[in-house]
Amino acid sequence: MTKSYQTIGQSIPRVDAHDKLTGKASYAGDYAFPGMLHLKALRSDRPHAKILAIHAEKARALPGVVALFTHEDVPGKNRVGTRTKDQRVLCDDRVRFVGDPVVLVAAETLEAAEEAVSLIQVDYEDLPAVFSPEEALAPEAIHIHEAGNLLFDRTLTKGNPDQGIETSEVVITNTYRTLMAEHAYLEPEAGVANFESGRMTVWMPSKHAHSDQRELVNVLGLAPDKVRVINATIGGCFGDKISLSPGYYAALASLKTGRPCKMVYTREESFAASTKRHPFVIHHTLGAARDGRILAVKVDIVGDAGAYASSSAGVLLKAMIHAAGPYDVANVFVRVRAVYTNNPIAGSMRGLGVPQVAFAHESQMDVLAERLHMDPFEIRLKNGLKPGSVTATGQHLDSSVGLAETIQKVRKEIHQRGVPISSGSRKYCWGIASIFYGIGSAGASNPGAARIEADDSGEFTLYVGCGDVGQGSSTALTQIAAEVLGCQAEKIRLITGDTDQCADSGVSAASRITYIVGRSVEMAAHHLKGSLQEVAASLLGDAKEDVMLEDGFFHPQEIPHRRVSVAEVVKTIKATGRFPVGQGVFDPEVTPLDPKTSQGAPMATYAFATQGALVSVDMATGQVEVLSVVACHDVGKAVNPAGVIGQIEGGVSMGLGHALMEEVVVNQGSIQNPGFGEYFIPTAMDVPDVIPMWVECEEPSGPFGAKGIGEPIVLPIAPAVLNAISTATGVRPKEIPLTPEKLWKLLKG
Amino acid sequence: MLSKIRMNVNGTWVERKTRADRMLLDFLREELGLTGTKKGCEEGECGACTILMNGKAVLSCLIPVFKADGAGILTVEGMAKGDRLHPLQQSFWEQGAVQCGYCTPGMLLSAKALLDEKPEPSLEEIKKAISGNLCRCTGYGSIVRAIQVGAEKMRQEKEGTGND
Repeated sequence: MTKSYQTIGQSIPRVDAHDKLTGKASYAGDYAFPGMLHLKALRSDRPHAKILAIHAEKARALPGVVALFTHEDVPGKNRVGTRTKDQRVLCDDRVRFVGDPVVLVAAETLEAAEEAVSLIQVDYEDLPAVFSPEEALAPEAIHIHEAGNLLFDRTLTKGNPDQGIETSEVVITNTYRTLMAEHAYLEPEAGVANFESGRMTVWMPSKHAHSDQRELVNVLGLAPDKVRVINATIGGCFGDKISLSPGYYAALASLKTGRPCKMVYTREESFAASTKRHPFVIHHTLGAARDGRILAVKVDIVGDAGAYASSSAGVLLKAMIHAAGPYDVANVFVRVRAVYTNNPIAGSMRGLGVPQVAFAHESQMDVLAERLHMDPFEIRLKNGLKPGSVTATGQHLDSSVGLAETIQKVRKEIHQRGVPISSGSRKYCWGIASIFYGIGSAGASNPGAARIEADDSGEFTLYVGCGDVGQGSSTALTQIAAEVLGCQAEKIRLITGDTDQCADSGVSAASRITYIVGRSVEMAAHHLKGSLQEVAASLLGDAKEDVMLEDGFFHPQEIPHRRVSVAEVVKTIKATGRFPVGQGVFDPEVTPLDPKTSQGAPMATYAFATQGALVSVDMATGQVEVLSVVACHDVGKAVNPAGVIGQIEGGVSMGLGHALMEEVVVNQGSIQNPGFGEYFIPTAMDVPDVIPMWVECEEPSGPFGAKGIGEPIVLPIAPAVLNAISTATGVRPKEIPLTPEKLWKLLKG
Repeated sequence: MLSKIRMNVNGTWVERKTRADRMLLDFLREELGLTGTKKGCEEGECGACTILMNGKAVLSCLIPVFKADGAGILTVEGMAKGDRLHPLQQSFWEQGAVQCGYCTPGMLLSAKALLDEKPEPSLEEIKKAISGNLCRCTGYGSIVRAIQVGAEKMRQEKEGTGND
């Protein structure tokens, strides 16, 4: 049964769009202060070397140069990182990748800072470098960090996987590879800081302002109440924009010089310094009965973490949890490892390791279907998770499991659309893929928090720690508050990502904002509404439960004309010296994973999806064109349908980039294509016709039943496209991106 | 060495002494404070810095400011008339064509250049017109729809007022 809502489920226009459309929105690079200094970093051109000496006399003497900083100038701890703090703000004894920052220059102009950087000489002693996990794990390999090169190693065991494989009538083993990809947000990283009256304020695009504030406190050696991070408008993040970034350098330089400081990465610098999607090597073995039932899955995954830990542990953990795919499999073994190398740093990127494993498990499903002459839809329906199923971590799924519906809807749509008739060397085919994706941090507490206040004019101000990274969270959160408070969205003012004003709502990642922070907003709004309702009831002389809130007025049910406005209620409350405010904290219930078996209930809820892709392949040249994509997602509840469509279309585009186009080419640790002229992301000419669809299997613990949508979109598209190509051509590609050249080689045999 | 540069920006003549080899993008952002025009790559590959110069869509990160001496410049700040959004701004908003917003100013101006020249463009013409403007968020679908709706709004507006 679908409830009717006033705002939830409506495609209200985005609350932040007006400023973005008129040029008024302030991104960090748009900030300017009188007397502001400009910063530039000297970065390592070596993949692995000892720093012997830094010669900076010429740079220091350059007119316009105000100060130079090395690791010795970091007043607090020169260690940062979202989990393992192994990254230096400025390198001390060693550089570990091409792009590691060594010296920071502050100057009156950017030109002077750039010229100064070019005048600095660093004496290095090169060290042996390793560029693949295989090399890094060799016994004789040099240790990139003291504890060795194995950064993360974990296994999952459910049932008896070896026996499961032995008893299988069909066993399929393949190795899949995914290459390094760039987030490629349009806004390069930037940050501005001003140290004034003993207090540091930093404006930066951050996917977690409170986390960056805590790191800055450590780096700057200031008391926690002396550092404020304010989220500037964020020009896209896709999992990145956390931890070491220009805001950190601006803060360091401002602390030291007492002047406002600004740093903006060039695109090339952004490519060098930012984190990447982990390249994975996935050995995948799948055992099934002749009727298509999967009996066992064994997966071994090695991820190239690059030079520093960043989010590698979280990425590999999520890959492990999802490695068997959205299927009910009794026997599962997964081993995941993240390995340090001297490559660019890998970190969190939309989907956190699950796009890679989805490529593997969905390729395997199609191979199994071919082997058994089964329909790809049928084999997925037969094994797919449904209410009552148990996941690879042993989690019982009771509700909000819409996988089968997504498969059915995609099947129906594809059948209606049909396949163009192949002609000449051109072949057409549909391919499909299904996924599940846990919403929120894996097996850990990750609360969302919100506060909402009512003011004298009867309007509301909602405070949340999480900034809108572009995905539309501010609009969804506004809608949730408006729905509870019975008002139009325009009556809700939103303050986000200011560590002075907002509680820590957790990170804008893991597709968690609508579900987790949204629920905390719903709770805060109910809390406030309850307080207002009590006073309204006493003003009206009615029982609290008989009074309802509608369009800014409380009135008894059925008697709308006998009413009192929210504004009057607020004034009454304030007259008693109190303040009308509602608070909400929501931390989804999870069971941490067992350290040995990784059994547990790591996520409170999962999103499900199936996508189908129609491709045209030129058998002579290997050219692939994706003509249509049908994408059906179980979102729990579409809070803002236009926002869901936007996420689906955008995610499909990014996923197609990963499937067919995007590879960060690294040679001896050095990125060969650090710009949009060489690293190609999809343009308007590259994207197909996208047919967005969703099902709403409501999540009881979510706000109005909502789950998440941001990341799941990018998971199924690559396997759907490659499954289509495989069916069309008869060859099975096992590496993404699948460029025309690679496919042509496969076709040549 | 500073040169005197004069140009009409968003309907107002401005004159500044500046280094003639500065890029127009930096001039607009830093000397005129018009930060609505975005810097995404500084090598003409992303389209975020697209503005109109004498009615044509150009990449302001590739144009030395002296080349714009005497020119008419339109940036995103000049699109709305007071509080009234340009029909394209309105349609971008309505169609959900704005996500992170960083490509939006450039997209709007590429779209305006197209529609000023071709009030009824085909789907392919729209895609081609914005093919130099990268967007990582939207997958372009909502932007293309917004340009189609914006074209309709602009035609109606033109018919309604009987002039440009």
